[in-house]
Amino acid sequence: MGLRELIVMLRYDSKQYFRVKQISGERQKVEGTKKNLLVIVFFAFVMLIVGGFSYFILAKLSLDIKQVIPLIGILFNFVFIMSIIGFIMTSVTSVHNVEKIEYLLVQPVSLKTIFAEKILLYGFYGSMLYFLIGLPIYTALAATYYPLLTPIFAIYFTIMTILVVIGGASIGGIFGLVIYKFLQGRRLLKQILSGLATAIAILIGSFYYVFIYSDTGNQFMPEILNSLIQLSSTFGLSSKYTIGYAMSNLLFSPFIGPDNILQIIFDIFLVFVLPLDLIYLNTAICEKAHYSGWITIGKRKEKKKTKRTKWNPHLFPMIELDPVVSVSAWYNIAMIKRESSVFVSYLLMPIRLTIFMLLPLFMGEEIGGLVIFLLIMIIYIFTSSYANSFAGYELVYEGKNFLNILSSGVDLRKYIKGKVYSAIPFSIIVGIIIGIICVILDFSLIPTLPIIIAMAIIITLVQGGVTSYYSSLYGNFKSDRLFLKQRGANIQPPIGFKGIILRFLVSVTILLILLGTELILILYDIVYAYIGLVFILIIAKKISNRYIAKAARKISELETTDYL
Amino acid sequence: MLRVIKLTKYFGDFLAVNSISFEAKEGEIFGLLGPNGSGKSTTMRMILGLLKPTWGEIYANEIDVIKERERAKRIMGYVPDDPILPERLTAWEFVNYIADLRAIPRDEEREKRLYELFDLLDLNDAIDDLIESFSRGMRKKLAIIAAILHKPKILVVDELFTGIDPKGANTIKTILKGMRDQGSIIILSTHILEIAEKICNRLAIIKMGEIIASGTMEELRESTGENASLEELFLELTGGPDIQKIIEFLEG
Repeated sequence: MGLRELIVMLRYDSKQYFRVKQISGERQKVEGTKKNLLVIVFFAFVMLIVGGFSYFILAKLSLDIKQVIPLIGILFNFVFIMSIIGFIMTSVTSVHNVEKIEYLLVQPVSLKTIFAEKILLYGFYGSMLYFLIGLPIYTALAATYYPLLTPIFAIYFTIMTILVVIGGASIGGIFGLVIYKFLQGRRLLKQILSGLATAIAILIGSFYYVFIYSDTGNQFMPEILNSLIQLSSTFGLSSKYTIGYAMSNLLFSPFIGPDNILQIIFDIFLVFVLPLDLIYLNTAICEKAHYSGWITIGKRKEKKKTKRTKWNPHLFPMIELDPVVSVSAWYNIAMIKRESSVFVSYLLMPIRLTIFMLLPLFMGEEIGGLVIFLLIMIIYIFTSSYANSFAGYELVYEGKNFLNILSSGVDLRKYIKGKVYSAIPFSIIVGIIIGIICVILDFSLIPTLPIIIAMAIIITLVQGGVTSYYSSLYGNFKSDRLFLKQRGANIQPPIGFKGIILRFLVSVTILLILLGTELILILYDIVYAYIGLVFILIIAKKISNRYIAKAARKISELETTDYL
Repeated sequence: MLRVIKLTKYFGDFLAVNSISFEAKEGEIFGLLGPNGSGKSTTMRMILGLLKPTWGEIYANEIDVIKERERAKRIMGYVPDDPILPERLTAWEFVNYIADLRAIPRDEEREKRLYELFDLLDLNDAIDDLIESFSRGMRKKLAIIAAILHKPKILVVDELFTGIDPKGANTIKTILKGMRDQGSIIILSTHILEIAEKICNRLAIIKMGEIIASGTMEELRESTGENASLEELFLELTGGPDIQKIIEFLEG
């Protein structure tokens, strides 16, 4: 491995990812330079606050460091495991991206150095969060013992954290490579696993919110913490022969003196030697896999000649829509489904939003009669979220496609309408589920079941139309849905903050008027509610069409002036 | 000299390149032609040290490419068909990145050469712009600068002229000829047969992983016994389109 080349690559890559200075070129300014600078300032500020506060507390507190070492050891073992898992995901999703670094692979640099640099970069990136909290607390502790040596302890902590993270990342990378190879050519299995992983992550995240908000969660916190520590011990995470314990011991031993010199030697091996060996192992395997072509060999399937039927996509059975609307809706759903993690995110993300927005309102309160109101709120959150994703985000992600659509003579209004309509089947499912729950809770609500389902459609139509318009005004049409393919990135909302707020205010105002009218009618007489519903649906469709037309006009204008 | 001896590559049980052998001498532009999926890119990737052959040997100026990859890469340059470059670097940063990796001293000579190349390829105005704002042609020009800034002895180029404006294409052709005259070996893969016919000294036509014909244009003509253009020779050797089917389709 070449150290010189490694440093060169790290220098230019950090320029790519953490640029804080604007470039002098005229064609395009670097987006996010201000954001990067703000992040750095924010980091520094948080670290200063945490450090200062910790120093104040630790100076007054007589801490039994010997007792702390195993606990912090468990924590570092979690950091290590998280790095393994994190890099498995990164590796699985980015192995095929090796062509993106072909310009490096043809340079006279060993492949091991190139792959090592990618892991090191991940190490820096993955350690950020631990620096934010861990570094100031540790430095504050060091300051209470050796004030003059504090900077050295800060560097000591930094190096060790990076080593532990990249040690985990190296193991994760190897697993990722194997998983990638296993999944190669098995598209369906890959989609199922990726969708499942996203669903689990969202559900765990949602559970986390419930736990935070619930009073019972607070009561049981120490108990759960104890159980977690016990569970960790069962899995050997508190063992003296783990990398986490070793790091903890090495970090705290300077303050109390080494307990066992053999243990310290072993710890030095685990923290400073093993991760470097693991990087070497990872890079050697990566080199072998890529150079031999092993990674590119897919499972060759026998080609079967399939008889194709007439292509005629239908969004709703028995309902004949305009062909452009049908095809656009089919295309929208097909494109989202092909990235199963995005599809699952779109469908399940409202769960988190529901819990986040509604739980604080009702925690510790008797819900009682408000349960129906709560369920209607849930319909709103789910269906408006679907409209935003299917009609808003997906419209923006198609920035590069508009030239094709416009030049093929397709009516852009119908095309956008297809996107709005593509959210409706999912909204109907939510409406049916919530409607059935309402009926189970109060059987007398059965006549309102069609109204609840229609409500889901109304929200989707209005929110979809309004969203498409504000997306055309404030969308970043150069953004790419496939952010997931890139290291350390996530699905980013592609619509500006102003757009999100305006969209929300406009659609909520319209919906309050429409759904409020319907509610009054329900209270007055259910028969009037059914009659009113027809009119409200017509009005919602008209409003939706109006905003869709405005969106189409705006996009056509943008395409001819801004070259999307 | 570039010597390729019985180069073979299997992907699993799929034979991508089957015992290909050829030599390209100093001061020669060697054309690798063939239909899509014929094994040209795999051959080039093996020459560049990006892919390990299942069997066979490759020597670049007597350096064993398989055993001494990094050493061989020092004298090689590569321009891919569709270059993927680091989007968030500026053009100037990128070429300096490559120059630093190739350990070219940061002196006035390097700077002068880089400015000259930017000027030649009409990229001066975009020198401080992010690569993500570049068109396909501009990316290709930038990839050419990165591939030749160290004056390679062997330059491998894949579909060099697609996406390049006429002036740029002409400049590149002149640069290639100049490099050839200075003794570099250029391995050129292209589907634009008029260009191959004009600038290649020798050619090899690959079909289904095998060389089915090679030599100078004259030698190829002699082997087929016809005074044909390269396009006609190529179609005869690789199999031309089914004219009857096309006529039937057009007649509806």
